[in-house]
Amino acid sequence: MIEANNVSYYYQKDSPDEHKAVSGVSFKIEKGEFVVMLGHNGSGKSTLSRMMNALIAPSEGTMLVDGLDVSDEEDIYEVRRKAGMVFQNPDSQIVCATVEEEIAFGPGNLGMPRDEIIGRIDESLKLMNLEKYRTASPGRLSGGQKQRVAIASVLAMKPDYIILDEPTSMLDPIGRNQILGTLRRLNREEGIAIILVTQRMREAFEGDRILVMKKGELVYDGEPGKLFADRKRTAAYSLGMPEIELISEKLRKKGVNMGGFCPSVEEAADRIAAIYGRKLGKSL
Amino acid sequence: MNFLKNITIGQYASGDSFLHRMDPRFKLVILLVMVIQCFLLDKWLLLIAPFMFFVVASFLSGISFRFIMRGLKPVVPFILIAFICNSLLTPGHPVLMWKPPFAFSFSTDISGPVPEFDFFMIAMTAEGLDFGFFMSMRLIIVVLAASLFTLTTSPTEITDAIESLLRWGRPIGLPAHEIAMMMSIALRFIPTLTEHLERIVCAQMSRGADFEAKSIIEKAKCFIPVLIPLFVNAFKTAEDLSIAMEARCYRGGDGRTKLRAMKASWRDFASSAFVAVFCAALNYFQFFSRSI
Ligand SMILES: Nc1ncnc2c1ncn2[C@@H]1O[C@H](COP(=O)(O)OP(=O)(O)OP(=O)(O)O)[C@@H](O)[C@H]1O
Ligand SMILES: [Mg+2]
Repeated sequence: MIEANNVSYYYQKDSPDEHKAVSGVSFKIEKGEFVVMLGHNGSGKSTLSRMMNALIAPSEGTMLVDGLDVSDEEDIYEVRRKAGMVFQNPDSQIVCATVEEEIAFGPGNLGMPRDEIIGRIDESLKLMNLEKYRTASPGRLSGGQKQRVAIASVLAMKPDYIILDEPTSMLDPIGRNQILGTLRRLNREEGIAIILVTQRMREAFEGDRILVMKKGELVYDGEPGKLFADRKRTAAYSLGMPEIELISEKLRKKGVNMGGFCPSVEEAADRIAAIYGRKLGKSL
Repeated sequence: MNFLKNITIGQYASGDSFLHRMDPRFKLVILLVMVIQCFLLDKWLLLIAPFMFFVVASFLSGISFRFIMRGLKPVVPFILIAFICNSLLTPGHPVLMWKPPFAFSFSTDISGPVPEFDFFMIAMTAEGLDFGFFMSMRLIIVVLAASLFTLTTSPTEITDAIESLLRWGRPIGLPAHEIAMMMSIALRFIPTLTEHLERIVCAQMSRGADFEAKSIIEKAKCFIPVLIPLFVNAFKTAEDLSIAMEARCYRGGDGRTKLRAMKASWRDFASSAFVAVFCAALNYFQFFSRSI
């Protein structure tokens, strides 16, 4: 369990430029959950996720990963192993010259025996469908493949949680869907908790729980459907709407009975098919 | 734009040959020893031996000789310039001379006293040709040796070897792991930075920057608005990368496991023994030929 208790973070603490990026955030994320974190630019999402990975320690409050305190120097490597982190830019998070060495980087840092590292490489490559690229140079891969390499190299440390800070924002739609599919599979089949930070409203419905940040504070923690059904609140949190909901809204205005908030393309298709089927007198 | 597209520093051709299988540390040491040996020799006739050594070695690399030679092409102009400059500028007996307004003339008299230097004559001297030939041979051997090394040794192997060799300097405070890590990251980021550079150049050109300027000063001026964003980018990338490395538990070289172990085998011992005998023989010949 990742547990944040009243966590705050100041940049340039105790200097004239002191800036509070996260203030008084508390939440609990259980093993095996899929949580999506939303929020406007500068709302503190990246700062909060870096605390979960012990890259920075909270200025106030405590952050515990499976009971280990991220502020405790002795535990930070165990925290980083348990809660792996994937960043936005695929080009600036790949360290090594070949895919297999990149995957071996984390386990190597942990001082794992060589045979075990090789086993981990095999496993991670298989999970990410990257077997073909084992000895490839990461520079030659596509953006989506690079992000999969980044995820594979986190997986090699056998994490219980993976925190992804806008992993799809630099990818094309194909790469984006590949990554999202992979995350879903890792969550369901491997039981790894996923914490996905994103700016895309469509991705808000990937998980069963969303956290919304606004000006450093956690303003919503719950089901995505409930929040998005409330237009006033989403506007107050500067969240947009998924594209499909925008279309549904236009249809509603034209008199099509689309029902309430429409979270996904599949849902929209079902509703439209139902309406059209009723008209034709058969079920589609 | 294709700036730097043809740079093949550390180009590696994977394979399974004798040279590929050698321990990179031994390869590196042998390379250094042979290059130093070439610089100790003072007759181009003697340089034929190390040249043949590397020709034989290139057959042991499993890479076609033509491919290796193609890699040498970019240095041909340098070798030619070195040859011509040396042959013209070394004082001695002129063999091929041109003194305007007269035509070319030859001379085969190279044993007499050195004629006085004629300011208005451009002449290749016998000594210059000899020296130019010697310098070019040296250059060819060094380039051939270095490209054989990088062709058969992956960048990771090279940095591992350097780290392992630098470790001897650790008692005097040489940061072996850090140096090797910096080198490998630099190699890894050449393509990324090239891409940044191209993007910036295109962006500047689309705003009317002219990179086809005539004078060198103008050209240099054009590059200032390119270099500044490039550096800013590089620093940003470096910061991101260091965070990403930390996030994956990086904490320096102590207690780190490498994916590959370097292991010396009979190949390495045999080649080292051969190189030792080879160099000893060369030095003996050189000494012997001098004393005659
Ligand atoms: N290194 C830093 N030094 C000072 N202030 C910073 C630093 N990094 C971030 N901040 C500030 O902290 C606040 C939160 O930043 P953070 O990066 O966590 O936001 P974010 O929600 O991830 O934003 P984005 O959606 O743009 O990624 C912002 O106001 C930002 O300006
Ligand atoms: Mg961010």
